[in-house]
Amino acid sequence: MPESTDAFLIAEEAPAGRLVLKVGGDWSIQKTLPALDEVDHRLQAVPPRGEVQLDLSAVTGWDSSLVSVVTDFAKKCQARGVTLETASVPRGIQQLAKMALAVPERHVEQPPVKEMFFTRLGKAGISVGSNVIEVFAFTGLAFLALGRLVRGRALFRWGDTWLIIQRVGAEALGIVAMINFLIGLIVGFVGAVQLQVFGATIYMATLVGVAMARELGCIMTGIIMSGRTGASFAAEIGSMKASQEIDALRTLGLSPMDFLVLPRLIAMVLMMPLLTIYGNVVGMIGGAVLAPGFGISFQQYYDQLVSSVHMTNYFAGVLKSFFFGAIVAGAGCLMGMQSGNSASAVGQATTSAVVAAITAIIALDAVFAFMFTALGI
Amino acid sequence: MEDTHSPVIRIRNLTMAYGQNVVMRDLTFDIHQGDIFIIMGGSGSGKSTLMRHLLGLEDPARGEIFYGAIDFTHSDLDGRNALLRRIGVMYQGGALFTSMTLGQNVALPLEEYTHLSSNQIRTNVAYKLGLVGLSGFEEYYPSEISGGMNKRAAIARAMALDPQFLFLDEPSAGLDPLTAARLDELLLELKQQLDCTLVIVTHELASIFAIGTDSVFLDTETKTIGAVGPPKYLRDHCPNPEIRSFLNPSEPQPQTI
Repeated sequence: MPESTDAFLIAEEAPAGRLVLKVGGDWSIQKTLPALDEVDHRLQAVPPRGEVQLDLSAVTGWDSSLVSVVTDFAKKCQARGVTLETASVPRGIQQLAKMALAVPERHVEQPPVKEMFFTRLGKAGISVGSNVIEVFAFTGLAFLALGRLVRGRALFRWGDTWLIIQRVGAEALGIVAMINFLIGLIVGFVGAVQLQVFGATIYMATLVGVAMARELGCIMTGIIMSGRTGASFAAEIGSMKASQEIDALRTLGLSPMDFLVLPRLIAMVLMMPLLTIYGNVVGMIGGAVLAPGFGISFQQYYDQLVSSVHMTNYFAGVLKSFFFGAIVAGAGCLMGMQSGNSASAVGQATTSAVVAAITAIIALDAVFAFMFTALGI
Repeated sequence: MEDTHSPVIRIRNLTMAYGQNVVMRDLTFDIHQGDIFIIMGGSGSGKSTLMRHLLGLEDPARGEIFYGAIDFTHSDLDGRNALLRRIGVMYQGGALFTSMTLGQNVALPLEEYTHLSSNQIRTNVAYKLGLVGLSGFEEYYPSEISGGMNKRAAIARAMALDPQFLFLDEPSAGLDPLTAARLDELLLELKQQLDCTLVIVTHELASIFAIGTDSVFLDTETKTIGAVGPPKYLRDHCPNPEIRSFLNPSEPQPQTI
């Protein structure tokens, strides 16, 4: 075996305007290889119909690193109508290069063109519009499915619905309790510290009660459920779509709306208010735990709570929670149904389900706050 | 077999497109009663897309699909669903419902569309799973069995309602040659016993010649039909050399370079 030397690549001007590329040494993908920039420049400088000679007689060893360079030269010469003289190129390299060049490139789609800022902005605007239309269409379809259910014509399975109710209801009790307990605790603590200044710590009970019943109970429960259940709906339906299970349903003549969306929607709308009521109670207990620390007995806390937090506050929270339940289930199912057919698309669907649900919950809560104020509730 | 039987699926001037991107244009061909009809073509030629159109999962950009006298393309949802009940579909990966056992998967269409008692359904499900060689697997979940078993279970589900048409998307892809051959045998047997029409998307030459009675070749270059006819006839007599060499790889390739 000849002594292995470093790979080299030299461009030399030969008489009659020819360019000679002298290649030699041991070309291995594991070793350092000569830079290509200079030779590339020289190649570009060769006039059309010129001639380039590739001299590989000094090559002692080669692998794909050399083949790729030769292929690249061949491609460039071909593109510019330059003759490449390859007599000294080993047969193996010639064959491999030919195979790489032989497979025709297929243009299935137009190559992505880099778009201008305003084009992208416009397209984003249009897609927002079509997303809004899809939300309305989905809502409409959901109501149609509900109509079929009421008339007893939906292909609806109560067995599935009970299972989902268990999953979104009973199994969520732990996390809903923990978050609401801590929220009650935090609100109570922050409030009590401020109220202490005025010697009015007893009003922390009112603060915790009203805040939990009216706003925080239903919002926190909605956010927890969108992260927990909305995300799981989106992932579940999205991966069903990716594995063609949705197609299979449709070709069995079963509407995915009746079969998948309706049970989830019904389960969430039924369970969300119950979870909210539960969360309210746990949150108020969270406040109560702090009360003795500020010189309020449990009895005082309880009395203050009962006397100052009116029923309308509870109703306001529970009313909102029906809508929040529909939002969480709807966003999860819609994003799942719209998901693409790949693993990353399912991930995206899950993310957007959670983001959309939380955004919609907060926005709707603002609308409700405005309405309740206007109505004097 | 003579071609005297009447066409049961007629495709007329079907153009398929995703947005502006035309996949195939002006497809016109017939599928006859009792055929094992092969949809073939190179990778990415739109074979599966054609099947999705035949099933109403995609709407044609142009053209119509008729099942018997029914204009499937312009039917409303109820009309389509009624027709779909006479169609069984096996998807590429099986697409069994992963949250249900094999038994529940096969039972689902029976529960929704028949008035059979639960005992009768159980018997029927056991029979259908037995047909595909999976008797006793009722209680297994799709994730607990192999890919080949998933495909066979999917065939059992596709046959649940004793369909008139059975569509299969690459039934033997990813199976070893022996299992693939057994699957072909099964399909042939099913067709003869149940007298249904099979439409199969595939590019497995072995199974094309083993069971195919008629076929359409989708040509990626021209974006339309390359040839229609029985696969063996196309292999020997098709005027297009590319299709001949696709069907008979041992024949020298036309040199394009």
